[in-house]
Amino acid sequence: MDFDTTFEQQYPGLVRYCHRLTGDRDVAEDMAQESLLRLFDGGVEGSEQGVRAWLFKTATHLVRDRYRVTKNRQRLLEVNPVLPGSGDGPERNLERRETRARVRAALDTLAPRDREILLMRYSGFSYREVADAIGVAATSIGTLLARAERRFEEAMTEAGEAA
Amino acid sequence: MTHATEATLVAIRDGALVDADESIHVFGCEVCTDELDRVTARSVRVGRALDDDDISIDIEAAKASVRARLDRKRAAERPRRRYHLPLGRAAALLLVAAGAASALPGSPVREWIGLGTADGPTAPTTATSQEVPTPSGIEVAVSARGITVTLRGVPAAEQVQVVWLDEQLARISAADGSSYTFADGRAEAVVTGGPVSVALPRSGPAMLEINGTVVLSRSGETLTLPLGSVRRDDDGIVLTVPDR
Repeated sequence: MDFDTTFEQQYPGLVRYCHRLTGDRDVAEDMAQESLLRLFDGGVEGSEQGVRAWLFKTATHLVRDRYRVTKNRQRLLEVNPVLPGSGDGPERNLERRETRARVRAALDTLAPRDREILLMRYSGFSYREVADAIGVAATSIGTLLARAERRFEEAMTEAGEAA
Repeated sequence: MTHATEATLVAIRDGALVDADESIHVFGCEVCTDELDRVTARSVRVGRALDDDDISIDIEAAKASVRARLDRKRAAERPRRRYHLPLGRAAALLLVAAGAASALPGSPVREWIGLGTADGPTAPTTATSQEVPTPSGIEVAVSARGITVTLRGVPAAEQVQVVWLDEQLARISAADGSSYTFADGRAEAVVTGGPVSVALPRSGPAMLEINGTVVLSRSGETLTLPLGSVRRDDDGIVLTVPDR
């Protein structure tokens, strides 16, 4: 497996997933790089999608090992990243920052497993791949995902009303 | 018939397998199709919210960091090579010692290979086995369904050698006094100590579990080493036993 090609294919999506999971950019990069290190050190081989599923599963477990919800909840709520300007005006940048803060806060209200399911599903993984990574039956993903989506939207709505 | 649950509608929306009768009902029911539209619209909103996360990513810096860590890891492992035999040769010595012992008239080694359960007796020593610990072990045939090898009692931080075989056989070799059991598709050992070696077919489903932790799994062409490896070449792999 070519190091450069695999890295370029997998790293950006993996970092974004870990960032959504943890709310911390540095930790997200650390988790993504650790997952790739284990991939290459362990000599894992397979199709591009198979490798992607392996990496997301590994990253999910690394984040679980590193973070406990009770210790991290407050930290996530306190994080207020300063994001680079996108070329939009200051008002648009502020609006986007506020939206991202609401999304992060909404994600934080979810149980860890619900958050993982939601983020993995919306990263493009099949029900079977999500179930394998999270450690649940594939037949339960519909129920768990419906719940996660519902709670996420409710939290986003509440945060928007509070703002 | 009652209407479809939200979970079923989400699964239909996502193209996951659902009960055929439920699916037929949904697409013929106005209430259910309205609900399906609702969860579909929700999915669009959720996806849009989650997509809006354009953190900048420096791939080259990340690549350099991971490459450096890999190089440091491999450099730290390299000096050990001087003090160990090449992987294939060390494993061959262990197996040859067992094989040589089994050729001796009345050798107990021949008796315990292939039994359903066995406590490995001490094999007769030979000149070559003076340089390697007295082995005991088990050999089982492996079907197309594959093999799961389970080792218990292996000391933490011990290194276990996994040798690839071109035959559909699996072997476990461990210290004198270890006990072995096997059934269709499984071989297990409770070892009294090292050195421990395992031989597996070069292809086909396989799994190696040590002290309750899966350290090797192969499904199709995908080989996974969840805890990494100390060394790896075409003859096999050397793994470090995790803490229990």
